[in-house]
Amino acid sequence: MSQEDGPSADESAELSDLLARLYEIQTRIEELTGGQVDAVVYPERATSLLPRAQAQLRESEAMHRRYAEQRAAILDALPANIALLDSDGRIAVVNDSWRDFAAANGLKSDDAAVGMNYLEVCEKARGAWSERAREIGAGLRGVLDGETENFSIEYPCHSPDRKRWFQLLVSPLRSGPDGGAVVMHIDVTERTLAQRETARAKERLETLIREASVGILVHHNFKPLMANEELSRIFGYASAEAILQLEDIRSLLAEEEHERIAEYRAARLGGGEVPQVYSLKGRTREGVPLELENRAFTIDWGGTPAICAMVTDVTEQKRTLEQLQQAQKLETVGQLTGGIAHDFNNLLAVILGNAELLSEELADRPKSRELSANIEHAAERGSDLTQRLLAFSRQQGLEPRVFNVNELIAGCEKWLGRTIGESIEIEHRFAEDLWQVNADPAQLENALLNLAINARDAMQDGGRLTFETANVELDDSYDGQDLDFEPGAFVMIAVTDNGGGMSPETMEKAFEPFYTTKEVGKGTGLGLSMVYGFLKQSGGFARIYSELGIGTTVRLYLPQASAGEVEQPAASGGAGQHDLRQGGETVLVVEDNEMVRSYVVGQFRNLGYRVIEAETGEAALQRLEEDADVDLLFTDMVMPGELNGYDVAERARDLRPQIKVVLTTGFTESSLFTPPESLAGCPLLRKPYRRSELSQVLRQVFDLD
Amino acid sequence: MTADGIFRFRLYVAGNAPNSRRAIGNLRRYCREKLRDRHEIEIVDVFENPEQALEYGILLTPTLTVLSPAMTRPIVGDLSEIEVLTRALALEDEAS
Repeated sequence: MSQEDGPSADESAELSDLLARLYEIQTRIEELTGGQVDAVVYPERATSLLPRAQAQLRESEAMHRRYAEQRAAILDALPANIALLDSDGRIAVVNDSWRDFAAANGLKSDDAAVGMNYLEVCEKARGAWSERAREIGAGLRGVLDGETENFSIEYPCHSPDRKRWFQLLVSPLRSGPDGGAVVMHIDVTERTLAQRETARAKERLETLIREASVGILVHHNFKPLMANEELSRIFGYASAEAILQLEDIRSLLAEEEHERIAEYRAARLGGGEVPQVYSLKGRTREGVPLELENRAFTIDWGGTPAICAMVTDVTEQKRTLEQLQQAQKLETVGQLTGGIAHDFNNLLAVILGNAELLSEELADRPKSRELSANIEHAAERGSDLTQRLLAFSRQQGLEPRVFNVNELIAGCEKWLGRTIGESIEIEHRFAEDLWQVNADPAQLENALLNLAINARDAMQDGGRLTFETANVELDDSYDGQDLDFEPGAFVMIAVTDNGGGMSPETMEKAFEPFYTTKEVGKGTGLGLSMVYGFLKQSGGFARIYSELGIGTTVRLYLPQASAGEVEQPAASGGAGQHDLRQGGETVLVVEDNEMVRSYVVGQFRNLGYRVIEAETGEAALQRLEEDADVDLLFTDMVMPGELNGYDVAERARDLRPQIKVVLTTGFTESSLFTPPESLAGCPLLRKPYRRSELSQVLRQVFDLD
Repeated sequence: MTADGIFRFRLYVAGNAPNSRRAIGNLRRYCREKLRDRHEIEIVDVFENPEQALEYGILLTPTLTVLSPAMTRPIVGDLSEIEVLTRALALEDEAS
């Protein structure tokens, strides 16, 4: 058959016949193979595609081209470096970003590493990156082998000019017959930086909350959502987490506060008025009461309206304030009672003195004399009371000397025992080498007697009374209830009973004058006040510790005697009973209170002295100049006018070096004024004084010659 | 079961023709899923290597022959009905 000519008629007929047979053969093959065959191999070693397969191939190739174009377009549009790997890990296709990145990082830009085995590169990496690369290689192999669904890792990839972070995502390619995987490197620098900034801000905030010296608590419906360390510290919990375990944060508060807090919460959520700052009573995990100050406000806590409370522990602050108020109260009451007691003393001096004079006048009328004796007795009791008031107000006349407290207690145990009765056993625990104190031993005995009597009353059914002594050195850190407490060395005397004890309320008021728990008429309410005043006046202080049902301990602290004081010989001697001295000397009485003056003058005259009177210091000095015979100056300490008792005495000594001086007072002026050296040996007579005391002092003065 | 536990397949295909490509995909998937790490696949393109086909009497593609364990009857088709292969390999027990 030539190209120029068409086939001949015969050829055409044969051709037509052959084509019909060919079609028949092909159709038969399709039938036999169920349409699943695409080629046949001829015995002459030629291979031919069946016509349908040829059509299918053309169609599928066109479709593949279309798919490849679409795939490339999608891959190029994605903001990530993407490569498709075959099942061996070889790079088959990459997108524009991958190509650009490869070029920018020095890889040959033409092929952009297509054909390179990515898996092998990762698995055989060396150098600084090897560890990360191997990790990626292992992940990639897992995906290619179908062992893991996906693999993802974030890694830093810093270039010299900027910091970058990438996320690598590997996903399997399931659609293709050969498997393989998609590898994507996504630049997550912005996200990473933002996350880091957020993390830093969070950390700073958390530090702030953790380190804050205010307790912070966020709660919703009293269920804790957040708490800081300070809060757990205030309430005695091990950690903030322990607070979060609480079912209801009201367990941090005293029972009586629950209702109020619930009301506040309701008002706050309902937009009502609630104080911004308020006091609150709390309790620690162990149940110790706390005084709190709370600032609360509503906040939005992740979409939930919650309440944030900022809690400050003001327990210590409040206690200090209360102590200060208590100390000030005692001080004020002390001044007040001291002033009144002084006036009373003057009145009692007159009553007592006149009653004594009256008793002498009525020596031959026993019935009437009994009445005046009653007056004397009552006045003495009144005088006793005012002494106690003065003791409390630290204005009693003290006669301090250096002594050992152990010896003093041992010396009075016998009569104390008689006073408090046989049902109470007395014990003592004395410190060895106890320091000496410089105090008024008589007043200390008095104080111990007071404490013993209180103890007896607390132990109606018998018990044990213990005296204990110790040397103690207290520094600034000592948790002093006494705010004017001065650090130093003290001798401590503890008096302990195992009686009923007292409540905290009673304990707080125990030192207040006229406070008594005893039945009306049984106690003056001055016993402990006196003890308190005596110790304060002696430079010490007193403490009470008591528990209901267990007992009470009162501790007295007296300052250690200084070295100089210890060397001084004890300077007091008890005066025995002596006959009243009848004198003939001249006495100048200086006293501003007219009643007292006339009483004293009467007493002196009665005793046989010649008496001159003066109302003020100035008047006294004038009399002294006028009258040459004055042997004794008897002067009050506090008087109207420029001069006090010391001044008058000194001027008098200037005029008459031989003149005797007796000072008298309702206060202890020794605590108010320091006597000048020249007057150091002069006796001080405390008001109100009895005739016998007056006479004794005079005898003492004149006998010194 | 073969002596060394490895299944050896030879698949005759005609280049990139659709049924041949499907047969390759189906066989690979089957082996990945059922015979992981214990199979070998040899692909023979009859366009490039018609002699080998003729030598073993392969006239049509795609045709799968199983060399080990030896199976005399080849399987013709794109292997889309994979139960045929499972039955042929007597792997029903393992497959279930």
